[in-house]
Amino acid sequence: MRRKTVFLGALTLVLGACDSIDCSLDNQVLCQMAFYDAQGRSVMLADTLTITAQGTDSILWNRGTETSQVGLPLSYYQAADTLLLTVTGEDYEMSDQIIIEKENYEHFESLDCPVKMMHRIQRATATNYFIDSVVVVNPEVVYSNGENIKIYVHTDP
Amino acid sequence: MERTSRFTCILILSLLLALPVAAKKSKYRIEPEMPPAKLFNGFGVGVDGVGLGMKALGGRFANMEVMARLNLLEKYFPIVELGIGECNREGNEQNTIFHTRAPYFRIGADYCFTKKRNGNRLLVGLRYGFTSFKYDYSNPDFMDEAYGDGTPIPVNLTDLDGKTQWLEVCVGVETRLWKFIRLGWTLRYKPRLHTSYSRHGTPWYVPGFGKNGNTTWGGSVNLMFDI
Repeated sequence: MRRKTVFLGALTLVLGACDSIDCSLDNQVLCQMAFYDAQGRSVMLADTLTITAQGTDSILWNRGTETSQVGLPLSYYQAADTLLLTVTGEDYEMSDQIIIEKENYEHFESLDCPVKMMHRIQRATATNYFIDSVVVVNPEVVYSNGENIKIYVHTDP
Repeated sequence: MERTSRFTCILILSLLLALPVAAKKSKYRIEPEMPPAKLFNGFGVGVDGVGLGMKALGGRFANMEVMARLNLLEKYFPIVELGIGECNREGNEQNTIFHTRAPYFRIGADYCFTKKRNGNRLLVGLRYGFTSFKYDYSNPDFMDEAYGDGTPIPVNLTDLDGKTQWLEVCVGVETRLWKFIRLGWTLRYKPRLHTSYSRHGTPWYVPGFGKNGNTTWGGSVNLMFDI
């Protein structure tokens, strides 16, 4: 009995030392936006869409065609991001700005995952060339949390 | 008639002679009846060697705890366990560092399934565990890849608030080593009941519970002293 007790105690110690890596592959934090018409139907932009952001040279969405939704990174430390959406057709180019005011906070999912910045959107506004309005439907920009902003565009000819 | 009486005498004599032999060969003997156990059979204090061992061997975390228990009727053992949980861990792939050091508390009871009172015990028990703690996360390489200029901005989040409640279903054995000194071990299945963590992230480790998750396993090797 004594020997068994001591042996099993040692086994418990050894088993306690096991380890594994745990980090989900789906760990992107993107602000999800989708395009709609005035009736709330999903819209696909037939022309080329490019999205850049003020304060960075990075192109967040590069020459996308047939775009109905986009997932964009937001800045880690700015209180507001100004996104410039440019739609380019054969004989025209139109741009609109979307300003997203937000609160940022760091998030540690796991020791094995990279640290991510998450955001809580406080307000979103837009200029009105090809965009009619924007509506925040889910302010929490976290891991794969569905749509955050609905972008209503002018669809009238 | 004479024949019958002779046969009877021989039979009785042979039976009388055979009795001691049969008693000698028997594998069984009647145990002396145990006196009924007292309601209060004293109390014991102890220390868990797993946490101390893990700390000494440089483990990723350690629950260092002491315990005190009552002995009622040699069957029921209400128990209180108090400890300090400590963790310093760096991620495998990332340079994220997690740190916490906080007390925890468990209360529960064991039931002894062993009928004999020879110092050996087979115990099954239940515990309720609780801890309220602060934890830190840091990462020196944090970088805004889309908007930044490539310069890392170290993140140091300290004193994040965490609370966890959990249950422990325990199975264990123990034996008397010498007079009032006992050695035993337990294997513990721990389902988590309730959590409250900072929005900055769930703690990698919870003091007293172990590696954080919906459930986990644990164990203890207890050195106890009956008083």
